Amino acid sequence: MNGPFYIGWQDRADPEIKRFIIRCVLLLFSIGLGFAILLARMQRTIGVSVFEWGTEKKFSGIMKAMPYPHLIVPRPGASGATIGFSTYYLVAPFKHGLDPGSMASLDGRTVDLRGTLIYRGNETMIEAIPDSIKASLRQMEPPAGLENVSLGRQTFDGEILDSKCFFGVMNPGQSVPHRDCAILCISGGIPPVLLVRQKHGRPLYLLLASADNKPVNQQVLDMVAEPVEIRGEVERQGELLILRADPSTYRRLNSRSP
Amino acid sequence: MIRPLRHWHGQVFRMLGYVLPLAFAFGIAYRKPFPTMDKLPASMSRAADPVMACDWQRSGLFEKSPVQVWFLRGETDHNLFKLRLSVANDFLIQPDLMVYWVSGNPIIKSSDPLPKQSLLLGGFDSGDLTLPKAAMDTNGLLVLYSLADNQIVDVSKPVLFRNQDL
Repeated sequence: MNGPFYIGWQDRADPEIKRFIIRCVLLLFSIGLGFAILLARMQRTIGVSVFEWGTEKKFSGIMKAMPYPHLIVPRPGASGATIGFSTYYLVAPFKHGLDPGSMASLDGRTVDLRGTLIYRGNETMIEAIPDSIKASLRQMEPPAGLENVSLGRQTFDGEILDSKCFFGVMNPGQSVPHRDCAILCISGGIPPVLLVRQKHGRPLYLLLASADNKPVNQQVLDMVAEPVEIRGEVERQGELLILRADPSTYRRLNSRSP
Repeated sequence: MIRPLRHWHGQVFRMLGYVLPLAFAFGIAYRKPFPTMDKLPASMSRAADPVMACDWQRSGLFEKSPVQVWFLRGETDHNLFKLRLSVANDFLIQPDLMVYWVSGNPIIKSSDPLPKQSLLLGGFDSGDLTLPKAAMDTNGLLVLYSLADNQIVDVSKPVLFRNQDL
């Protein structure tokens, strides 16, 4: 009861209280700074992805409408075993995909379109202006190997994400912090993709489709951004991987380490 | 009146001082990690690819981009030659980047169209690229070409792989 007493309206605090406060402030500042540095060092680096916002370009290729509209762009100079075409996902502006039904009349035909590039690693997407997608006057020869090749029935652990955000529109466009946005995008028709991370190796992206090769946007919404296990038929179309499975068979992984 | 209140506040803040950092640490430690796979299904794995040995490795082959190039030779099939290219994460961010081989030593500018004699080796991010036989016996250039932009991104110095000459 004989210690110093702090009085807020006094000009100068008691020296003992002053020393105590200075020590406390310095200690808390050091702890805060150390903790901030530690937390920052623990974070993963965000991936390198690009959305060329405001830059419209022209593209030509062969339209494939199912399971989600995508553009086949022949690679010049391809021969032998090299894959002779690239595949660009096609989406509409904002949180909308292109309707596979409305693209059906252009399926297999050469089209011209305008749009904005989105890319990450070797995944490329075009945010197409829907009115600009027109059948081209010149027909491209379908490149060799355009048919889907079955890779059999496989099981993958991964995370369902909306391809548009993850490939470049949002960064980081994955996991729980991005979940609400991903659900909106996928419900708007953006192709859902299963991101499969390997312990050693590049990540894989598998386009999710139903067993009969139709979009599964509305069926996967409650599993977006969650660890899931999906077993289904894998098909390869050039470098594009398609995982065909009934969404009711997707299994949520609850364990900490799969 | 004021001392018991201060005493109570002191206890509350001491308790929060312990509880909040613990709750934070607990939350961080028990976050659900991203699922990762130890290995891919056999039909999708590269484990079946032929075993390759590195003949040489170079950086500085390209003028603008810090691309590391490995020249690989099949350990069992000595006529199999591959190329591995890699670049630091935030360099060379180009849409749909392709790697081409152009024989000879033509002068190629970034504004030029892709030369007609270009041979596609594959996508830059597509793993090891098989080299054509022509690339073994003649001088040539490696060309990085963005298919989405229809633009040459970078051209290597002339290289003859088998003799390791630059």
